Amino acid sequence: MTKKIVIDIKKDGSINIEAFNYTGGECEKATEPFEEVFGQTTEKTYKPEFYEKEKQKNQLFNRS
Amino acid sequence: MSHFTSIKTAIKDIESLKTAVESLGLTLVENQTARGYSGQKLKADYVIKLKGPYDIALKKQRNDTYEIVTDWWGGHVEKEVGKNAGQLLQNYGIVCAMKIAKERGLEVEHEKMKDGTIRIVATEAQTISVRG
Repeated sequence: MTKKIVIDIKKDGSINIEAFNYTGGECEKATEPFEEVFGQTTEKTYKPEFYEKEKQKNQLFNRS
Repeated sequence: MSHFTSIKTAIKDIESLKTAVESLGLTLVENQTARGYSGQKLKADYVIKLKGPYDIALKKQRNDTYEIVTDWWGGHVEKEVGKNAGQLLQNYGIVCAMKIAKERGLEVEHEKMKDGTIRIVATEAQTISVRG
């Protein structure tokens, strides 16, 4: 599925960024340049997909 | 889907700001004085020269962002850059978003929503491998 970033820039200048079809930490790398240039992040909410790859990584480390 | 981020726009990139200022038919100058109420003047790192009686001063802060300083009295400034500089900040955000998307090689589409929000969709170009 195509990875995309949707940036809504409101009339008052505030911004919402939403990342789609990324897994794990990929989304943070993708949106970081935008977040940095825009200014002060006020809120960040992670979707279930963000945790998918992180969970797999932990399972690997836990194997004996 | 991965995450949502909400951001309060802060001015950091002067080149992008210059483009945003010019999109409003205004001028950005460096190291000059901004006009204020009753002939008052304020020296600033950058000044947005407005068509009305007051200007907007931009003062660099410790975190390298620029604080907007102006006299909002009488609606003179609001008329040119929007309430609380909203229009200016929106244009600045658009310029920044397009610049970053271009630098990252993303395909960009944009549309204006009914409530005046500008939606920019930056898509990663898909690579197609061809077997020879």
